[in-house]
Amino acid sequence: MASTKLMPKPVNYLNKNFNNFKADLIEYAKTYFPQSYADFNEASPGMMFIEMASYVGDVLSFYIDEQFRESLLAYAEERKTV
Amino acid sequence: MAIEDYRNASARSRDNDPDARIGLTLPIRSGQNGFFKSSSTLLEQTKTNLKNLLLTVKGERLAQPEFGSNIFNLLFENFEPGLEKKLEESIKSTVAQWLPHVIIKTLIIDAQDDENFVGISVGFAVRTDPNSTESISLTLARGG
Repeated sequence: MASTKLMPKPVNYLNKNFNNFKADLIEYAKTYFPQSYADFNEASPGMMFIEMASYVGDVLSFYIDEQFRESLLAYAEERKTV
Repeated sequence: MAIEDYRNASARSRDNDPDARIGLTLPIRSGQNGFFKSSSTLLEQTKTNLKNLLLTVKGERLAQPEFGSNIFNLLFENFEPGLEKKLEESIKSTVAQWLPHVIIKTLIIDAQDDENFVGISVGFAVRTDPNSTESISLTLARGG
């Protein structure tokens, strides 16, 4: 019997803005829930939730980037971090 | 602008599939198997989408400042004969931009100056099935 290997999901650590999060979530829904959800027009309540999640991802990514930048002495901007 | 005109010939076959769901409906409620209540036909989903679109004020939606209509802004205008025409044009242009697959069949605007409300009734169909119609009715209180 052939062994089944779980393929790792491709994770892109650079797609971190609103539009990229939104595109990824839409792709995820199309891949894993094709029978449960098919309405990707902005006017639908489902897309409203997807966009809200994308917005949160965008904001959190900004703070991750900012914190990383502050950890590098050459690029830090805040007085308390230098 | 709408992402894509996602309604094509496959939408009709999807409407006939009893297991296929389209999207979430308003008001949001719990449905089967722990999911939100969802629609099973394009027309049913379009009814929800149209309601969501018309009741969203421009600038209200996160990261989509152009999404929505300016019906609520017009409600604060002075009551004059041109108000109904402005509302009609606003609704038609908004629908044409965000729901291009919708055909507006009837649009009745009932602006009552002494009752301080505006009633809007929209009869519509979708391009994949222009013969089936559905309608929504909105009653909006005017400022004051």
